Amino acid sequence: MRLAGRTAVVTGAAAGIGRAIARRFAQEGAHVVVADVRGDAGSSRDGGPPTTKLIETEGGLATFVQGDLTDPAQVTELFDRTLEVSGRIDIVVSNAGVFRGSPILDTTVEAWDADMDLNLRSQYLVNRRAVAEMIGQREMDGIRGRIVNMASQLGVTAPPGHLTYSVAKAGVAQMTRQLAVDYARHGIIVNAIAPGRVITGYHAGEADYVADGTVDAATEYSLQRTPFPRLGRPEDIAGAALFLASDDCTFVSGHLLMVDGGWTAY
Amino acid sequence: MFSLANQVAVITGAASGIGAATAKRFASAGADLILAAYSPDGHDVDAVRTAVTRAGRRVHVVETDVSDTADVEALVGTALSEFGRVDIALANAAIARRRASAALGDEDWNRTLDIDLTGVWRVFRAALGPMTEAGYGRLLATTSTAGAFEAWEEHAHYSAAKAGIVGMVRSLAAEVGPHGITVNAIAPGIIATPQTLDSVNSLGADGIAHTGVSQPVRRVGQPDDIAAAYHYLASPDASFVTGHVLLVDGGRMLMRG
Repeated sequence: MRLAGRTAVVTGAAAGIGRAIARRFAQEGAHVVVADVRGDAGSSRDGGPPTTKLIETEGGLATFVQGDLTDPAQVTELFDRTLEVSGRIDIVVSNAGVFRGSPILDTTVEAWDADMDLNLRSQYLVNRRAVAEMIGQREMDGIRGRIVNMASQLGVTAPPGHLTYSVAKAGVAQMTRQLAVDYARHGIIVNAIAPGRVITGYHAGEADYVADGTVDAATEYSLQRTPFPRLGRPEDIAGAALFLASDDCTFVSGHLLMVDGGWTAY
Repeated sequence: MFSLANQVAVITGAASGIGAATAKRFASAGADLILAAYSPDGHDVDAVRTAVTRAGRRVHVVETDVSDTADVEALVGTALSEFGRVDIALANAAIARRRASAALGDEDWNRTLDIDLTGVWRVFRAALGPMTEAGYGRLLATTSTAGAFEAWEEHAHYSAAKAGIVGMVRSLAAEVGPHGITVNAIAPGIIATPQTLDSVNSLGADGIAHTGVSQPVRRVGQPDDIAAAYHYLASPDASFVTGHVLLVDGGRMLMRG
């Protein structure tokens, strides 16, 4: 139970990677604040119960806060609510985002602004409030808090035709470096994860690929291009997030941890 | 977290510093260990052996010169003969000798490359067969911020070797990934190890103290910081991380300050 007594906010945790991170952190004893723009009723988009219910069924502690994190007021609400229920924020995983984009000639000013709001500005808002809270907290073994930002392999390589996504994710990685430099002296550790091709329920058809073994052309290419003999799973990212969120991570800061099955090494 | 229960790890340079700390950490996570020690270095491996035994794990210490292929093959062979498997191979042994480049002769160059670069390769090569057969493996190496990411004056040979590890890790990751084997390196920044405390060839105690305050995290690293990162990379949880160089440097490479 490496996160016993810790409070962790995980954004975008209703499904996919965020859900796996929230679940793993709860299994390690953290009180997890599950944040998502989608509600927590019914079933998860990935199938199965909502994330908070899943965690509670497994004996963990979770609180759901609904919010659109492109809206500063709702980011404020998320953190205020977290402080109400726990009084402290040890870990923030800024994961919420949407995979979309287009070539520059098809990217209108409106689309650019909307995508940057979703994939970069929202992470800035979450990071700003996280730092603001953590900097005033009591140290625990020299550390006041840990932030893990979700970047992407596609912020390192350039995915064909996804201008806003690659620029936003590269921005997330650079924001991570900047905050690491600015706040390491205050005991705030900031790192990012760059997932490669991870199979979640998010990409239409990929869940079927897992279930019945059929593979669409894009997935087949990813599989063939990835040195590791399978594509990523949300649990792979959860393992990396757990390392970066734990007491084991006190001398790693500003790092972009590639969890891509060797795609960028190849 | 990150169980290594009943796994077998081979670690070179295990008598001191990063290797010793990692050996203890792996044992506490449930691994049995084959430790390579090189007695002319003067480090006492018995303390490591005792710590592993106290953690309830099995351990064999093998006298090994990583510049000797037969020695390294015997080392990995010991893992197979004693424990029947090798899940993790950590090539960590290295030397760092300060030499002004104008005076860096073939002998110093070759000796350093033979230990610091080819020594890593010997460990990886010896472990590849059994790992391929098992369809699982973790090949890990200690590189450095020096050479791979920053300059270190009067250490051109060391820097070349450490940068070479990065190329080896990348290429090997692509080659052996299909067999379920991951290949990664850690690039430590300034860590308080016997090597770094050597004031002739490295920073020494005063240099470490001076450097610590200039790091973003306001301290130098400890061997345990590296051991913790190796623990993650060595575990099944890091299956989808390969060909990566994990910087454990307190943010040093972000500022170059």
